Amino acid sequence: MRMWIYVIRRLLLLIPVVLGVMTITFILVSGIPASERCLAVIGAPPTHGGSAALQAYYAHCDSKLGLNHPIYTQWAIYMGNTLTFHWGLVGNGSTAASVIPVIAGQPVTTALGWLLPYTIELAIFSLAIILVVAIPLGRLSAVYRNRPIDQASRVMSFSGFAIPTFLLGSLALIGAVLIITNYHWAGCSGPYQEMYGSWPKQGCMLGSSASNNNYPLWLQFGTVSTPTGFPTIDAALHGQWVVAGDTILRMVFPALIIAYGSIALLLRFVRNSMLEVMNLDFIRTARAKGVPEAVVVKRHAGRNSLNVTITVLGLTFAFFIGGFPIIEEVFGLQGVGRALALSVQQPYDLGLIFGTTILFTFIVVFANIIVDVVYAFLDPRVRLG
Amino acid sequence: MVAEVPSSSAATVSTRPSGRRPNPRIVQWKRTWYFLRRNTLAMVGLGIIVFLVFVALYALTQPYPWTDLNNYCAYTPGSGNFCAPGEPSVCVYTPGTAAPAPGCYQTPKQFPAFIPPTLTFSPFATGPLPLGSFIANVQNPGSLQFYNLYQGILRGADWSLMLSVSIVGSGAAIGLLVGAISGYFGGLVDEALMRFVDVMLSIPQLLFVLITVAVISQLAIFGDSLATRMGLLIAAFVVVWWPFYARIVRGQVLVTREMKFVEAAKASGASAGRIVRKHIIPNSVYPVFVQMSLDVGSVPLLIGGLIYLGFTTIFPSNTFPEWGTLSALSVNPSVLTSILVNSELNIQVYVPWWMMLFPGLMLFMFAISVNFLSDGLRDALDPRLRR
Amino acid sequence: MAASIPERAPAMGSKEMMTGVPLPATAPLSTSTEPEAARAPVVLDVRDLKTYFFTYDGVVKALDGVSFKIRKGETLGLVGETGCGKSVTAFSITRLITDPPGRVMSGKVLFRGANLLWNLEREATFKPIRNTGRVKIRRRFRQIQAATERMAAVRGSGISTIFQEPTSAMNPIFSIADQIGEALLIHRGTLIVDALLNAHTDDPRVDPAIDHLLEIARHGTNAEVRTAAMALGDAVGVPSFGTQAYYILREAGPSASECRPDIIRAMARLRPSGFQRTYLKRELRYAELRKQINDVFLTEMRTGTPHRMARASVNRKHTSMRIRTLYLDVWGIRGRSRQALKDELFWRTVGLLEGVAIANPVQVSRGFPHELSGGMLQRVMIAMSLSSEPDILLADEPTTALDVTIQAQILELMRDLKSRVGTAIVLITHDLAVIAEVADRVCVMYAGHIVETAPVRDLYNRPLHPYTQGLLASIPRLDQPDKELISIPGSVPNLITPPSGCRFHPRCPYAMPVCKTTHPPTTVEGTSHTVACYLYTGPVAVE
Repeated sequence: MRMWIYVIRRLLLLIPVVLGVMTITFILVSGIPASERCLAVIGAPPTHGGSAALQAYYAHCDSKLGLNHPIYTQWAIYMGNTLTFHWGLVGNGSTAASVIPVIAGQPVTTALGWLLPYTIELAIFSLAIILVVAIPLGRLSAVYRNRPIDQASRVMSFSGFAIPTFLLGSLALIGAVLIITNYHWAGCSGPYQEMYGSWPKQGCMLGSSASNNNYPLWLQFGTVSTPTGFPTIDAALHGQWVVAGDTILRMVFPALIIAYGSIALLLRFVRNSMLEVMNLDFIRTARAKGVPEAVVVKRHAGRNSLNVTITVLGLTFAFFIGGFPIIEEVFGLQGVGRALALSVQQPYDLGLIFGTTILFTFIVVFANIIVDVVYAFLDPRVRLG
Repeated sequence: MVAEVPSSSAATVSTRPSGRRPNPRIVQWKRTWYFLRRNTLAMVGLGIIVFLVFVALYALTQPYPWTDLNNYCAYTPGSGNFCAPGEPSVCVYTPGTAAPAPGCYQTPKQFPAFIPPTLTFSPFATGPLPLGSFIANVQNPGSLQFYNLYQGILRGADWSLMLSVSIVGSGAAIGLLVGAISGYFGGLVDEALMRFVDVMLSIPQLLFVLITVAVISQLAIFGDSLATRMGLLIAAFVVVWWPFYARIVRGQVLVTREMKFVEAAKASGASAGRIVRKHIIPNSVYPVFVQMSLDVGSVPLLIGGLIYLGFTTIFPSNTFPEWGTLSALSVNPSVLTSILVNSELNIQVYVPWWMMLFPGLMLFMFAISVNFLSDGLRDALDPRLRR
Repeated sequence: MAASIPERAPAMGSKEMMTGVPLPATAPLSTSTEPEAARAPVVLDVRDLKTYFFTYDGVVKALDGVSFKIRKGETLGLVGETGCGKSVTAFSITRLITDPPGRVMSGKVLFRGANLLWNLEREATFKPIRNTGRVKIRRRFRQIQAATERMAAVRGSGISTIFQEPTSAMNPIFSIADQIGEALLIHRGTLIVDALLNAHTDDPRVDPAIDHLLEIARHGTNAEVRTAAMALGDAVGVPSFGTQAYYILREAGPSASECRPDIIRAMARLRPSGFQRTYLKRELRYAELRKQINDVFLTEMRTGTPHRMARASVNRKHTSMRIRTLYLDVWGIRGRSRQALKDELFWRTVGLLEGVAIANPVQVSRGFPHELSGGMLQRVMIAMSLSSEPDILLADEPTTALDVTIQAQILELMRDLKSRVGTAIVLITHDLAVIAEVADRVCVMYAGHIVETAPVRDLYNRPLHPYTQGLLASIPRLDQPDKELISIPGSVPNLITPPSGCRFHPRCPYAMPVCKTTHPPTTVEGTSHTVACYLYTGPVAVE
């Protein structure tokens, strides 16, 4: 019962944060000239019809954006639009629209809805890798402090934080492709490659940009997968297990690269929190009770340090999300990160820029809520206060 | 058997003139330095940073341009093209033909064309292109222009160091102030400021910088000079960066303000401003140092990420001599595409490895050395390690 | 039936608890006035214990040769000022010293025929750094790890510890029942699981016992109901069931006599089936393996040689057991298969908490440490440490963090337990009044040495060492309110650079030249009164 109260309270605290974020984006949006904003909201101005049609266009735009009204009315209109998911339209001529043709002219929310599942799959994959690697490694580093395993994890975490993601991703991609082609494991010849393209990049570069030679239509780049939108699940639903396996395989490289950066960050925190917990009084009591050391570390210390770990996971989620645009751009995946990366290139796409930013922010806030709930689940002290 | 543990009173810990207690702050720093010295990784990091600072200072003395790399005109003796007299130039020839003159570089003519590092390159270069060169884009493929990577790296040291220090310094200063005020005064001020900080921390950093810079560069009311551009860039970053420090400082201030010496200061009538200035801030500043040393390394990485995403309008030119920029240029999607297409066609692939390696290496060295240092600092300043 | 503390609860940790049969009250233990031969055997023999702490400022010589003996059932008080090394002594015995920065340098601790500190020389090497007081230590991680593992054989079951700060001594995320249950399972696992597996719920004595119990519940006192409940528990073969039945009735209140279906339902937990039985059998096997490896550890410490093969074989058996029954853990994620064991441990915990006079044991067992006050938590800690019937209880300043009234209750409790259970207690404190109330013998410590040891009455009547005399003289007396307060001049020495010779000599009113040069030997004065002071040795040649 106390748990539900806590959850509801956290959700209520969510509201001011969301409002704050949208206010900040509103401030940024207001800095943009009106013509651009009109483009994003109601599409391009009419090319024929003379000045009357143009006037009607601008009048429509003014009413939609409230440009004649004071700033707080504009703010209210903006809030209303954002909260009801009226985020504008994707431009027809922007880079994003040209690379991913399916989203041209669509409402931003629909477009993001099509692209989001790809990102979610990648995120789940990398999160799994992060948790499986960072937490046990961090604990081992704490227990075996300054021994070889600690030094190795230190090297890993420092190097992970020092290499820019785009460089790591690109180098990994180039290296993989060169090695594979040099040993003639792939290229675009051979039955598998002709079917699905040269790994790790999806699709052969020849032909249309990043086209997939024989992927089913619903899984080709620039289209939407049916019915659920998640490529792997859809492939499984359609019974195409090889394709499903292929989509998973293509996510391994990007997931590893993303995970490397986040593991670097998380590893230090896990280690430090574990060290801190191991110095606490109740560990000494557990040892004095006669509990074997392995159980002390795993059960007493581990569960307690999990709290701090989960909190840090929430804090680093923002960093984790921030890596997505770059990785998706490098590997050519069809997710919201790539949409953001494409939307800032000239000619840019205002609706997509702000749409993706708000989406990412919502995701981060939501992730923090989940983290808090899990935290309360693990630590009974939190539920009281 | 107890091996040689020193007996009492013979060897004392330190020889100070008796009767005068040393300044506790100095003692604290000496102790921190002692622990830092014992940490090999931290010393390695410190060494690398010192080296980079020297590189930057050396670059300051050289006459390289600040916003653009030197543009070498390429000419082939015996063919039509030639360069204006006085222009920096470099002699090239295509593979398959004989070298027209000694000292000429071989370069493939199709895009992308570049000159790999020469085998006799030395860091104190005498030739024009010791670390290799590259083409940023090709306006007219008939006349190639090459950019000097060595100059880019040297000048990049200046830019990267300057940008990171100013961004992190300002962000830390603002965050320190806000966090101290918020933590000390508490109540409504604290709540409001912390909600604000929460909001700003919810937006992923890269994205926030992206849209801030996008919007600011839209405004275009400040003109186009280098100073304003850099100022805007730094401002955009600082706006994104300070909340992190504010939160850290606030956490530390909450602990510090409960301590007895603050209570004593209050009881002896010190004003709030004085307490914050003289007591709270000096004692809450340690985690800030640690975090600052960590962040300094990641600023150039972030800048590189921005350029990679296609945001080339922040810098005045395409070949801005900055490590992140050069690094991003080396792996921009067109280069990547050409590598991948060529590998599929089984044509010989030209991978401009020197362009990816050297700026990336400098970035890596910079970031990892500050990481080592900050980790060593954190271990040395940790009161719980009970040394 | 009023809700109050049961007047007749089984003695905590005693055989009663385990089997349900009441024992006659034990006779009070012998005092020091008895002749030497009739004294109880020595359970702990500490010889020349040296513990140093290696810090940035130098080497802190916290213990520089501490020796004492503890006999079965006696309460030894360890008294001294803050920083004199009392807690360090207790922790050095069970090797709870945090290894950087501290290190037990040398010494012997003989317990159950084993030397608990036998591998010290091989664990670390030392090299002094020139021109500073610091020492460079090379620790051998593996040896230290093995030594710490070995202590698990002794900790809890042989030597138990309770700590100074009860509010931070327990794990905040596990309930009280979980934590005490863990201790019970480790040390008494075989007994508990055996009883559970062999519970005879269809014994012919069970039904009449239930009838008898409900009959008494109608109009009996709490004590009588408790006795009847215990008889039921004995009939079934699982004593904790008696506790559970008692609390079922107590909760029912006036309608206690209609509780028969509740009791029948509760008895269902004594009939584990299917996965639960397999789970219990696995726990039994784990308990046996634990006992085996503890035996191996003890043998290692007795003979002074590592028995790698024996250890490896037990570990192998454990691992193979774990792998073979992994499916139980997977299936048991739902928590059902553990339930029988958890319930059993819960009700045993309730019984234990009754034994330390906690008024609402069921609520406390279900709760978390942050919900309880310091006094309650200290009682819980005492219950936990005595649950395994250790030979020795090390109590590190158990009442220092509590109010005086709670302190009195805890001391009363400890005195009570002392007479019922018979564990030897080492009571570490700086409060002479506490010592006077509870201890049989006292050791007075100063700056890392024991300066005087005596039976408690002898110490208070005839303090020999100048430090003890100073301590006793400095206690303010209520019947002489205007008398000036006496204190020992000077302050506690810095243990990095302690005074040479006798460490008390800078503050001693009787200091002699020889006191500055060498540490005084321990001489015996009277039956069991020892003192380390040159005032009591014969003439000594001064170098």
